[in-house]
Amino acid sequence: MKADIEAKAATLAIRLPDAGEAERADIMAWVAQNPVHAVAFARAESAWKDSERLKALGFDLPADEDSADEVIVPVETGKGISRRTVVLSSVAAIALAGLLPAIRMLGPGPESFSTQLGEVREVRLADGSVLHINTDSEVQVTFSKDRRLLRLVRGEASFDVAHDTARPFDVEAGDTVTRAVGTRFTIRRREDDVELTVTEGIVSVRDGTGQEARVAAGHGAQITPGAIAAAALDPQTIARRTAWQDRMLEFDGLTIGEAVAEFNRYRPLPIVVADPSIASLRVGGRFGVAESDKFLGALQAGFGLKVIERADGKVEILSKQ
Amino acid sequence: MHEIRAKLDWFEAVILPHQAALRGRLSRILRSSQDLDDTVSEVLARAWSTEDWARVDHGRAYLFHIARNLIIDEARRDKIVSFEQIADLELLQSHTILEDQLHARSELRWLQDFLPQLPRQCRHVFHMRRVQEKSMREIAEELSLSVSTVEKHLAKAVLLIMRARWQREETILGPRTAGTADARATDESGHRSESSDTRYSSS
Repeated sequence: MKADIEAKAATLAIRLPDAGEAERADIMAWVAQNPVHAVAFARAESAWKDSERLKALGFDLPADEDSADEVIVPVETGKGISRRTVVLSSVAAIALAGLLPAIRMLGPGPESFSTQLGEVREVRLADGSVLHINTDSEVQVTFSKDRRLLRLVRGEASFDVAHDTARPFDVEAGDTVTRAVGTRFTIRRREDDVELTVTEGIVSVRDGTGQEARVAAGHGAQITPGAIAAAALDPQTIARRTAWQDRMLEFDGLTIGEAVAEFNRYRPLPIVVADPSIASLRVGGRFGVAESDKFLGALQAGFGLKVIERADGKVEILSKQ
Repeated sequence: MHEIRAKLDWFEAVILPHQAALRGRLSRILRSSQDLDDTVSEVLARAWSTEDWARVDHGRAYLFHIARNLIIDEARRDKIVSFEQIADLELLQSHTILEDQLHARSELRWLQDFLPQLPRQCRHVFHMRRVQEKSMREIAEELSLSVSTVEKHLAKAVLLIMRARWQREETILGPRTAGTADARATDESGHRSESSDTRYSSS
C-alpha cells in the first residue's frame, strides 16, 4: 500500500518536468488528495531535484560505465554476467577496505592516515567516529581503553566524534590539545598557529602552556603558544572553513591572494600573484578543490586579468595591459 | 494548483531536509522499527497538514515539536513510551542555522555515495538524465530502449533513493544542550573541570 504510493509518486515526479498543462493538473490533483500522497510526492521530487546538484560537483560514474554499447549487452550473456560480477566484487572490495582500518584499530600501536597533495579522504574509525583529512595531511590514531588519541602531524582534518563518555577524544596538533566527547570540529595546523572550528557540540582546547578554553558550536579559535583567541563565527566563515570536506572551496569576499593560497594547497605547482594590486582584489565563488583552472578562467573573464604559464611551469596572474 | 506547488516547494526546502534527523532522534525513543516508520510518517503527514505553513521556516524545530506532541499523546493513551523518554526528547534541541547548512552538504555527499549502489542500467539511465542532461527520448534512442522503459528505470532510481533516505538516521553525536547554554559555556574561558565535562555528556 505504502509501497504503491511511493512508486506512483516516483513516476509522477519524473514526469512532471516534461508534463503538459493537463497532466500537470492531474499530478497536482493526486498530490492534493491526501497528506500521504503529498509527502510521498515531495520525497520523490526532492530526490529528483537534489540529484541535479551532482552535475555541479562533477559527479561521474566509474569509467567502466561510460560506454553505451556495453550497457545494452543483455545480462544473460556471459559478458553481461561477468561484468556484473566485476561490479559486485569491487563493491565488496570497497566494503572490505572500509573494514580494515576498523580491525587494525584494535591493535595498540598508532595507525597513520595520510593524504597526498590534492587528495581529500574520509576515514571511518572503529568507534564510529569519522575523519575527513584534507590535502597533504597526516593523522595518527591510537585507541586505548580510556582514551582516543589522534595526532594531527600536519595539515588539516575534521573530526566527527562518536559519543563515548568513558573515552575522551583528544586531538593533538603540536602542543595544542583539543578534547571532545561527542562533537564535530575541524583543526588546521599552520606554520604559526592552529585554527579550530567547532560545528557541533563543545570541545575544550589546551595550548602548550596549559591554558584552557571551551569552544562551542558556531565558534572558532586561533591557538598560538600562550594565547587562545576564541570568537563566534558567522555561518559564511564556517561554510568556508568546512567546504573542503565536500572537495569544494568557498570564497566569500576573500582576496584573490587568499583564494589562490587555498587553491595552491591542492596544486603541485602553485599559482603566483606577484602584483599586490591584483592580490588584494576581493572575489566570491564556489569551486571544486581541483577546479583552479575554472577559477583562473573566471578571473580572466570577470576581472580582465591575464593568466600565463611561466617557463618554470607555475601559473601567474597578471593584469592585462 | 499554484497553492499546492508553493506548499510542495516549502515542504521540500524546509521540512524534508530534516527527515533523517527526525528519524535519528526518534530512534532513541522508539525501539521497534515499525513504530519508528509509523511515527516518522505521521509527523511528516501532520507537517504537511499545517494550515499556516508559510510561516514555518525552521523545519527541524517544527518537526521535533510535532514529534514531541505526538509522542506525549500516544504515551498518555497507550503508554508506549515512558515519561523519562519524553524528557529525553525535550533535551534534544538543535542549533538550527548551522545544522541546516551542514545538512545540505552531507546530503549531497550521501547521494554521491549512494548512486553507485543502484542497479547498473538504472544508475546509467539516471546518470544520463540528471548529470548529462539528456532527454528521455535521447536516452531511449542511444540505448535502443523504449521511452517507457527509460521512464521505468528513472522511476526506480528515484524510488530507491527515496527509500534509502527514509531509512537514514542522522546520528546524534553526543547530547546537545540548547545553543544558548553552549554559548554561555564558551564565554567562561578556562577552568574546565571534570564535573562540567559530565554536564555536557550525560544523556
